[in-house]
Amino acid sequence: MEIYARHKHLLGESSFEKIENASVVVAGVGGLGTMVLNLLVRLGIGTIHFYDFAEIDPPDLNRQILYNSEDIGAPKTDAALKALKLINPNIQIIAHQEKITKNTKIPKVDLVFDCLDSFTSRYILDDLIYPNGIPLVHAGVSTYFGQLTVIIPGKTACFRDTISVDEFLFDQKIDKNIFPPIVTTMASLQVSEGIKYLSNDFDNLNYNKILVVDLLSNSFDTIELG
Amino acid sequence: MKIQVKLFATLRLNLGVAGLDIELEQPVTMLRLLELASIQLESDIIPELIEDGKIMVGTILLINGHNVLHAEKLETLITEECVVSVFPPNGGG
Repeated sequence: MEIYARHKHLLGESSFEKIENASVVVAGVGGLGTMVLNLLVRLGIGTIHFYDFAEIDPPDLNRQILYNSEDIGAPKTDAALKALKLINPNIQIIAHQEKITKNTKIPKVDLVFDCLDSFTSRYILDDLIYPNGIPLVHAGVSTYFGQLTVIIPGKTACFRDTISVDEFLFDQKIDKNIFPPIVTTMASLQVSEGIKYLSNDFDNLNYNKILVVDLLSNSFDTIELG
Repeated sequence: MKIQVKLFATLRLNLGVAGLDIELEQPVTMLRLLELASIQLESDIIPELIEDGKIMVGTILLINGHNVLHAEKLETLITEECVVSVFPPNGGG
């Protein structure tokens, strides 16, 4: 397909076939989630499920790139689905307008992207997918900083044990100030890692380590995990 | 033995330093290491990391990538050359 002409050969036939046949979940359609979805549909991921329960507020528009001023007040899932279908109508996209809870039935997909905005939700998602062998590409952002790690059952600890915080106290302290470029940077890195995982490129995959990005000092640091 | 302390993200910004090396002659606890870091930096970093005697919410202390929360927390002994990472994870999405 013409839309894939600039990356299909770069990635290689074998990797591209895996991407075309892959199914993923994007959990959360805020700053990270809208950018992750934007890239996934352009790359040609076969099936994409996404989850969110919120509506679009004006402060979302500084970074949530699938939405515009006419979408304010609309459910994020509706606006995101409309925008994504316009970008690439060939992808199977399923919007789930719901909050992820311990009772959510996450589809049996190849990979999940963590684009949530609290550790309480992240630990719930982790509990839903890690025991079922589903890997996770995590990112979190705040102000000028972000971190990323890939969780793979059988190869890494679960997310809860990889980045351990007291989630209820931590979530009350999350700084909602955000520099939009850190969001798009981390989301792009999430998609890049996701493509590596789906292509079985474990040599270059960021697992058993945390990548810490600082856009103030332009530093990319890696914390090796034991 | 040399202990390499690395600071990340907002800590690096707030403390104005990316890290330091501390030379130890004997094992110390994580708490003592942080006190020694404050002395060496001539800046008290403890209030940035510890509150009411506990690791501050939103701070992760790792010894060679192992979170001290899964060990003895601030009483975790540092007995050999290692890298101590002090990392405040970011929670937004």
